[in-house]
Amino acid sequence: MADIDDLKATFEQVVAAICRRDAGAYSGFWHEQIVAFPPFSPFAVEGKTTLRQLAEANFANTESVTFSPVNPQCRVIGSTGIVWGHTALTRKPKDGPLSTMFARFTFIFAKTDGQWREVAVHVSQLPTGG
Amino acid sequence: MSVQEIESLAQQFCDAFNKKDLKKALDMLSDDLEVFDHVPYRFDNKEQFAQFMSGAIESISSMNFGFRQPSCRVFNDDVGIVNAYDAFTGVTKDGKVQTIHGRTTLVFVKQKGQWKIVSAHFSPLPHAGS
Repeated sequence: MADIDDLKATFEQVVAAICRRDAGAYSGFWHEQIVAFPPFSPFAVEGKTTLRQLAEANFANTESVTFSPVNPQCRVIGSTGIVWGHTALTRKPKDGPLSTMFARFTFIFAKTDGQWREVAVHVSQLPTGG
Repeated sequence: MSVQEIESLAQQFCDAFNKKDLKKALDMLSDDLEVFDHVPYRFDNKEQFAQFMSGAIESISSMNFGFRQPSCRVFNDDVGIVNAYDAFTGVTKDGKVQTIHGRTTLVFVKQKGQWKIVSAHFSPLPHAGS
């Protein structure tokens, strides 16, 4: 499989894991040194172990999560893979109403041991333009 | 590439903006980079982003842009990633002070013997609890 097709397939599996609220499957795509800028918290999350704890807690507090990329773009440069685009992120917390956030995302992967591993992710709310 | 090189490149990027040396800042960008910034739409190449930055800097008489707590990592010796909090303070030509706190992700890849930014994501700092 060509690198770009492999990257697209990996991204689709990442999105599927998020939508299943499967922190185990999701974290299987992460590099040990992943750093995340999540959409709802101002803080950077550093390292696979810390991010997995956060993902497990977030998924446990939600009834459903839907990450719907809008026209995602994929690019491979050497051993680096980048997937970026806009997304609609819909969540139903166990103790609150369904809500949708419109956001931008950049997922950065590095190929290690023949696998695309996510080394950074940055998701941010769509600015209002003001 | 070493982590120190990445840190140095990130600082050079800030220094170029602080000197309003747009050419030097743009020289650090790959021609086909993609950028998310503090506007809703994305930039899909250097020319689009250059036009945006040119207009933004033209209205500023002085500015200070810097990274806080940068996390710099190198993968496979051919990609460097910077995740950092950022702080921008600028004074417009009509005397208004603007202060913006945000988060930055930069991806450096070596192209034609030079390290270039191929992806950048700048976003406002989310409000805690939002």
